Amino acid sequence: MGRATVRWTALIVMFIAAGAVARASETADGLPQLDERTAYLVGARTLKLGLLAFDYGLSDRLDIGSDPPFWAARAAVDVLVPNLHIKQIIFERPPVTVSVRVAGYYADLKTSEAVSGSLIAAPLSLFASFRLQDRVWLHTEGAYVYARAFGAGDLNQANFGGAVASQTVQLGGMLEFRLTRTFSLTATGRYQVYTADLAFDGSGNVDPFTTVDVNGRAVASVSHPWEAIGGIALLWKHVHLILGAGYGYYFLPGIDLAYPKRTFVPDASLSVVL
Amino acid sequence: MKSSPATAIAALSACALSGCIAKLDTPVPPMQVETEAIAASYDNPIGSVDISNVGETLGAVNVVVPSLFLDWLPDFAAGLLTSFDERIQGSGLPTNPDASVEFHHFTLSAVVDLQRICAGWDSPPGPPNAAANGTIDATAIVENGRLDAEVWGTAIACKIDLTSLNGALSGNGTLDGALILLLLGPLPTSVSNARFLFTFSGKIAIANQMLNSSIDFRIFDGRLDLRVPVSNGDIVAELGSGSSVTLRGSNGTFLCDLTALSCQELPADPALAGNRALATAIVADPIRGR
Repeated sequence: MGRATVRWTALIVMFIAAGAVARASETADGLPQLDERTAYLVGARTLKLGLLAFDYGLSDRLDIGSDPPFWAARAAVDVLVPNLHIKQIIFERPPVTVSVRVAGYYADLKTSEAVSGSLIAAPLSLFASFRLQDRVWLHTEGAYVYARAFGAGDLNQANFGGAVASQTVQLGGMLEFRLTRTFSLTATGRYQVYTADLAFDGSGNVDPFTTVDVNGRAVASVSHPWEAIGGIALLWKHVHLILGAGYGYYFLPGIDLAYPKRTFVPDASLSVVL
Repeated sequence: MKSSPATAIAALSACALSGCIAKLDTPVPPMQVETEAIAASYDNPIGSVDISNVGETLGAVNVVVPSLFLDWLPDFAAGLLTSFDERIQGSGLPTNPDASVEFHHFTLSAVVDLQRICAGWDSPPGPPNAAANGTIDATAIVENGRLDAEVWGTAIACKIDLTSLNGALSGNGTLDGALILLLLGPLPTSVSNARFLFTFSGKIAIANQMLNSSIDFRIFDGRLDLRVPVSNGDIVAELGSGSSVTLRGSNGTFLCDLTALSCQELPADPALAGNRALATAIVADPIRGR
């Protein structure tokens, strides 16, 4: 038996064992809950391994997790992006659930001994989910996103240090209509209501006698990016699949920074729930 | 500047509480109206060239030229602009006041402050010493994706070894006053492609001789233009190599010879302006040639 076979066997055994103790998030009447971009959590002692996020339910009211795409970026670019998010229910009285999600991303942008930089981004989201009817939910979100980059290095043969910072406020909403126990139709929208000027500053030496400081602001040509997506959600016991397609400005999942060009917006998420 | 995750998170927390992205405080360039008026007087001089008294007119040119320190001040001024060019271009900001630039779907505004410690009189210069050798602080601004044409600053007891600016010169200079550089084209990469109007108000000292000066001249791709006062206003002298000079006034353009004290009027009709172009070509590099 090869090493790969052993690893896969061990993984499957671990998944089955974990599944035996897991208690996935469900409504009181037994319907599985959509926990992405909603106020709901994955459930106590439940591990959810997704393409976009890994989450573990520490309790019925507290999740902790990380976004693997940002770790995986290391394979393509020489940048490590450790990240962590925590989601906690702060109010729960049917039909309303409210939770808060705090995330932090840190990127070490060092590209050489002479050039170094780092980036932090911190989306802070407040979710409120309303079960309007037995099979209809309205999920709402208000998000504040702060991002800041610091840098130092050799730029055009002149030592240069600087920083870039941005703040945004976004509102999101999703209408979920459950057709069967596990299958939902979804309509999702997101709108950036506030975009602060992107601030940047830096200082560098042109020559040993001359220092030049730059203090600037960048104003996005699109100050209110938005997206509208229609999709489906399949919430099987051990697999969650979300697919959708829309139009607008693509918001990077997790970090919620908008790509400043209107385009086709895909939506896809696949998770294994254990 | 290197920051650890802990520092970054602390900064983030402080910013989240205080909203730390402040509005950009953009200074207003000084003397805008006055500087634009000077620039306009170079484009359309109101004085007339007295062709009947060429000797006196050319004599006035000869009086004005030494007071402008044209053998080193243009290089000095262009050097400031090339330093701005290096940093502004390196920062991805626009370098041409004639064009608005969008950067990856963002419109940029910025304040660019240059601090130069003057090199002093030693040759070669010693280490930077602001207290002993003086300083120049200058500012350029970018507003809504466009570089403002006016770059301005202040020289404080700035000591300059003239040889470093022009190898044909020797001696020491000192600048103390306010300077304005009005761009007439993109930021230059050298004096040969510089296009700007230079004004200075303050004191200039060469060796031990201190002069109170309020001067201006214009550089255009290596050509030197200066204003010459005449009885009914100013005319513009475009300095050529050797003894040639082109005089422009409200009554026409004249190609003159400072030695022979003679002038001939150049045709105003652009189609017949070949001689004018030739005259301009002759003065290929009057700054270096002087």
